[in-house]
Amino acid sequence: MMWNDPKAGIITFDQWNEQFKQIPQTIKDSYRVLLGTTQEYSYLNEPRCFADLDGDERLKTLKYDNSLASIRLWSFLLSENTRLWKARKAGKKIVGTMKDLGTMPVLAYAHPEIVAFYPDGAWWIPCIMQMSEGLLRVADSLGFGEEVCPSRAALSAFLTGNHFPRPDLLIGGVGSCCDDFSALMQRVEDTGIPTVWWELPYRRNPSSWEESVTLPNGYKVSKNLIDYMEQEFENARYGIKDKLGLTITDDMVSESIKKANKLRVVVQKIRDLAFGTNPTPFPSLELQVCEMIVIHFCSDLYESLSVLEHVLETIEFRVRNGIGVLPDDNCRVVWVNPVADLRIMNVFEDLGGTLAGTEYLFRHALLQIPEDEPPMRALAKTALCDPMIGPASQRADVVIEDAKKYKAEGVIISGIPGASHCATEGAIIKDKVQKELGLPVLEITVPPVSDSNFGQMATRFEAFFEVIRRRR
Amino acid sequence: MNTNDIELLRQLALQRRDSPPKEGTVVVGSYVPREIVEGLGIQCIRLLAKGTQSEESYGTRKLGHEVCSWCKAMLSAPHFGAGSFLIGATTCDQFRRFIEAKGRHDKTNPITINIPSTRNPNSQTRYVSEIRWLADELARMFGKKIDNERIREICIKRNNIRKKLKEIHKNVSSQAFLLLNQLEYIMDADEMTDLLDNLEILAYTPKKIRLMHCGSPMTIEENDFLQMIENFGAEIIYDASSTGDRNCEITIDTEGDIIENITREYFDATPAIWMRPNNGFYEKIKQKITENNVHGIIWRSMRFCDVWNLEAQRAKTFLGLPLLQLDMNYSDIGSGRIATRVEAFVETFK
Repeated sequence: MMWNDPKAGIITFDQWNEQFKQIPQTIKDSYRVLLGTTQEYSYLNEPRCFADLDGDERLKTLKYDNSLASIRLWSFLLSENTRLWKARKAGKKIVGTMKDLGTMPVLAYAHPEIVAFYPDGAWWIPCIMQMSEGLLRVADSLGFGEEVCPSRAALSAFLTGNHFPRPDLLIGGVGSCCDDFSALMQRVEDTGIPTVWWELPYRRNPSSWEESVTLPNGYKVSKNLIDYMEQEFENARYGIKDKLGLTITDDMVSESIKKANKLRVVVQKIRDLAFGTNPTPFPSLELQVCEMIVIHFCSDLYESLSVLEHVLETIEFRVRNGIGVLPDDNCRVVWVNPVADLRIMNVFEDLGGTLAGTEYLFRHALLQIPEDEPPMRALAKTALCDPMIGPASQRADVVIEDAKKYKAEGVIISGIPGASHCATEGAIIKDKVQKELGLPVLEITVPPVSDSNFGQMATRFEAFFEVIRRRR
Repeated sequence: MNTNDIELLRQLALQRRDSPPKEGTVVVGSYVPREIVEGLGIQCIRLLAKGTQSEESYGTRKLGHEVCSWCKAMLSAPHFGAGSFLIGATTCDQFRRFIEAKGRHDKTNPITINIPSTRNPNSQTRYVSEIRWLADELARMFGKKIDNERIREICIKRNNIRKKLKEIHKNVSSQAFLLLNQLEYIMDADEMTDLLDNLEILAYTPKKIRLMHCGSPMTIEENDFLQMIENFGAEIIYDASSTGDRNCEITIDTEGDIIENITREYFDATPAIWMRPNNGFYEKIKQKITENNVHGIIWRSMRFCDVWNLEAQRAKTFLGLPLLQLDMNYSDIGSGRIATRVEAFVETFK
């Protein structure tokens, strides 16, 4: 049975629940995961189910794209924990990869018996559940108070065991990593979960006299550094074999890289169309979810590709037909850092903004992993493109590249309260953007539930957009 | 000068720290072996913040309030202003980012070297290659030649200084020990050797209550904090900060490949709290607790220092001793709030 999306638009939670009733049951049943296992099921659900049954209260305050691809995207995202529990029941090994945001899952998913996820993603739980779950209170009691970024919710999620299943193995990336998250991983190891530590080394520019290698994003690093990183991936591969008894061969890694690259191509196309087209064909909130999915495939490599292809088809259709979801005079902005409170992206658009580029901490997860060299070395090279492990000025370059590519009119640096990287890098990014592009830059801080700040935030957005409009 | 003349030692340390550096001085952070720099014939001092409220406020204005007090205060540290050159290691995220911010502030290009936080043969190889690179890079920058014999000579001198400091610690107050370590940070090897050779070590009776300090490095101004502890009848017997006993625990093997030996010693000798996993740090602390018959621990972290602050609960569990957790900035050094808490803590042992 076919389904034709209504005229593209942004709708409320209640409107989505009404619309969901119109979707034929055969379509709802067709989006299935854990195929061929005892736990196979259809994950498509109306937002009300996630809000009322899972306690995702924040969903009631958000606005959504009204396409089937959008509700599928949201259902896929919001069903992640359920899918992880079911994967465990289906006999899969659950691996928690932490901090590197994008590369280690490619290694983990090389083995068909492994389902990998980022416990880091629990930082959104306090927002999605509007603090009703008490994770931040638990974190406070563990000594992880407000000076720590909202990712402290992940520690509480491990200890309460109410959200994601206890992983069989953790692979924690440390080194050039936030101090608070590094401390958090150390605390998680105390719970007795076998942990493989690996290093995210600092990426310094090579000297002119050093033997250097070019990375997939064009950065140069010393050959030594690549050798080192490759060995770190080898250590992780050995850790998987040692702790889980699962062998991952080079061929399996190569296959996994191909699949990841396919997904990355889709996300890149989504970005290019969404950020590069006026009027904007897809809302910023859903676009953020699309980018988030790429880092660990939202715990299902096969289905994530299908979900994002569905989004891409929807966007392509809209672009072909000149259909947008926002006014065409909205201000085009590159957004830096993911927001702890998803609702901010709605507010941003309501007040006259639209995305023209993003840097959500994991641009390396969008790069094509080289397929023409040994797979572990290819992973090492890609991991070294991580914008968070080098100088902040290099991260500023990523922002500038997007601003140029998508013709942005301004940059918003969205600070995460308590995040150590946000303390100093905002000023560096701001300076460089202003110096090289002359664009206005707005720095804001977004807590997990920022309702009480909306007035102040709205004033700042409005003033920022006024500045942009005056410059046109 | 004698070891009971705290004021004189303090004045000397302040005077040395607050003097502008000689042109071309290299300032190094933890885990950057100064022996390599000095061995190249380059003036080298170690990074020491000025622990005052005004330095911290300046750092807050320039870096933002969520940066740790130590980094904020270092932004305008007098001993490494114009004409000096910073080399830091990636010991924590805040410091890694501080190095870049400092370069931007001073319009210089500091060097950041990678000290891995994991401990395995691959990481060790990485650190060795970073230090070899650093030696080459400095030699090229300063037009020097790497002379292993000269580096060996410096290692011998620095080993002797650290050995002497360790020996002295048994016979001096915690204040004197801190000041001597801080002088070691900012004096060249010959000057420091002279100072120690001519230092009269007078009899000192340690206070009865024996405490350990774990936490962020101390500034010269924080001598007041140690004095306060002593006034309440307690003594820091072991200081696990990088300005304390940990500073003296490096002994470089001077036989064989000297650069390799330096890096291996720096890599292995002093397990740090930011290493992952950090059980090596706790094992060492437990050993020092036993060796020094420690009664309690002062766990002092500078505000927004996640590295120490977020470990306090684990430390309470693992170390099994009464532990006072202090979260301080530089306006707190002599504050009534801190004094009351320290006094109450010390009283529990009486």
